[in-house]
Amino acid sequence: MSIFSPKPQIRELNPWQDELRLGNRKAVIQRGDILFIAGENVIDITGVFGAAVILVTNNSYYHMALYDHAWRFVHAGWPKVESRDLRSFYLAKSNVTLTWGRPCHPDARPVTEEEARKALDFAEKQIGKSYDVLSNLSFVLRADGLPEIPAFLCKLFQERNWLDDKDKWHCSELVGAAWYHGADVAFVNDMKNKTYLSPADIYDSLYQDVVCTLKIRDGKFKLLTK
Amino acid sequence: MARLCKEWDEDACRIEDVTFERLRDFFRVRGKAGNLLACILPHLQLKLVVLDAKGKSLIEDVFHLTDRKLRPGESCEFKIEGEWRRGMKDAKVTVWFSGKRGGE
Repeated sequence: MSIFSPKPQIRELNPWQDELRLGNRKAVIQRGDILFIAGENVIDITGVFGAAVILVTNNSYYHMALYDHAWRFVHAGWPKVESRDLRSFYLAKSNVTLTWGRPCHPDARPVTEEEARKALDFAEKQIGKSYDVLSNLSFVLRADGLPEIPAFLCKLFQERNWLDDKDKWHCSELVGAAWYHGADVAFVNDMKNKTYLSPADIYDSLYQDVVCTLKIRDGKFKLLTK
Repeated sequence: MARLCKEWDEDACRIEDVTFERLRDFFRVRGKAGNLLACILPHLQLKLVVLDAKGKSLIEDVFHLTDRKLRPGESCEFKIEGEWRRGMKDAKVTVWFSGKRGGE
């Protein structure tokens, strides 16, 4: 049987976990999982802002969110933080990659249901707050941003106090803060140094593991599992 | 206190203990990078090349270290996961050289 199938399905296993199924492929996804988003021809506004992120990070994931359940997710998108449904927001597109990642602690302990609930609670409290455009575009001024940027500018943007600024959010800032403030999970070793956090920083982190990937190519679905 | 490095090349780190494994539809590469320079490597990126049995490159990618201020003499483990492709056999990891960077 082909791993391509008409449409993916979700079935609730319990209040914390869903089963994502496509044909004979299936994966258990759960509340608080990180959703990494890449797309070849995404023309929504997050894709436009994501271009700056891709330019700096060399990573195809330009946007990210927190998975809730039953297809819903919370993300910092334009123009504000919101809760949306994956089916209408991404699954209708023709070329998108959605990867679920699961945070873990430095000692490899998996996150608990209680920790995931706290992370989601934090994210949901930010719903309605504005998208942080300046912060997103400032990725190019990060220490690993564009070369030949004057040192004083790099230093200024390298040490932005993003963890304490809770009035505006960009995508990875919200995911990083939700897990850090909500459950004390840090995706990089210098979270407290207040340096910018990109989708690539979190995807490449030792403290998250890929669970599965749902690919849409020319409208056809493919589910990759472990 | 060491300053941030402004420029570096492939010799900036010792890359060791690299492992490559298949997890059904994914591959996973693990290893460790140690700073050989006298300055702090900020937001170090590494280059991954996955090879087939004949040593031919199948994919190339760039990824980030979890320790974003790698101090002189310090090491940091790394892990990168991606989609498995038929023929993948081994992985090679090197330092992604920087352009001239700003910093302190």
